[in-house]
Amino acid sequence: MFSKGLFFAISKILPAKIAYAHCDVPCGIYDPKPAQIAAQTVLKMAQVIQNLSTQNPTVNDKNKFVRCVLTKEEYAGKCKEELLILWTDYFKTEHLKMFPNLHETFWKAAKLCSINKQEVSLGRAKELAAAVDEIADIFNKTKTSTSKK
Amino acid sequence: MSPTFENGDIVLVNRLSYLFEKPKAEDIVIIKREKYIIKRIAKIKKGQIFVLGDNENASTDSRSCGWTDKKEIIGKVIAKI
Repeated sequence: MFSKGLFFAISKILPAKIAYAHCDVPCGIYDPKPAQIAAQTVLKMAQVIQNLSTQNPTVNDKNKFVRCVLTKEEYAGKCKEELLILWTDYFKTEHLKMFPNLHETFWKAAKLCSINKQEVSLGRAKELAAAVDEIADIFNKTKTSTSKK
Repeated sequence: MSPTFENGDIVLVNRLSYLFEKPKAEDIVIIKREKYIIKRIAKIKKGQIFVLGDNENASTDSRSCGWTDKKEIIGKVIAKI
């Protein structure tokens, strides 16, 4: 009906504008990987902190302790931020029908991020990593169901 | 708006459509937010439209952003070129 040649001729006189399909970020870049990396970093830091020498620590030991705590703090925060993006922006009502415990799962994972900031606990860090992996699994299942349509 | 529109598609928009008719469900429209957005009208209420993307599981649309004022409609998409 409209030839591209005619369109481009008109567009030279009346330049076309770009319309986007997304209000904020392109949908395709939602990914649970950053949250998983952050959770694994928290776990690694908890392991390193617990293995640090508490008997007569050197200045370097003290420096390493502070750096590990800072990193744990930073990545627990990043993990929560990434989870909240997935929870509030990616997941929709349709996904709740497939995964009725979705809100509960996210809420617990977000709480674990805070707990891991407050504590140095291998158990809690492992719980966080497992909770984020579970969310990644849910995310991947929603992607599979989309591509089957 | 996949699969109806993909990145780089060129569409023709009638800016005058809604001078002569009212927006209706299923119309594909360009709306103006911080930038131009292409979406499909799903529901209409007084002065406002609820828009959805065709890629329903992945789209960011009125389910996240809420109802849109009809005044934000730039025009109706009438053809893909």
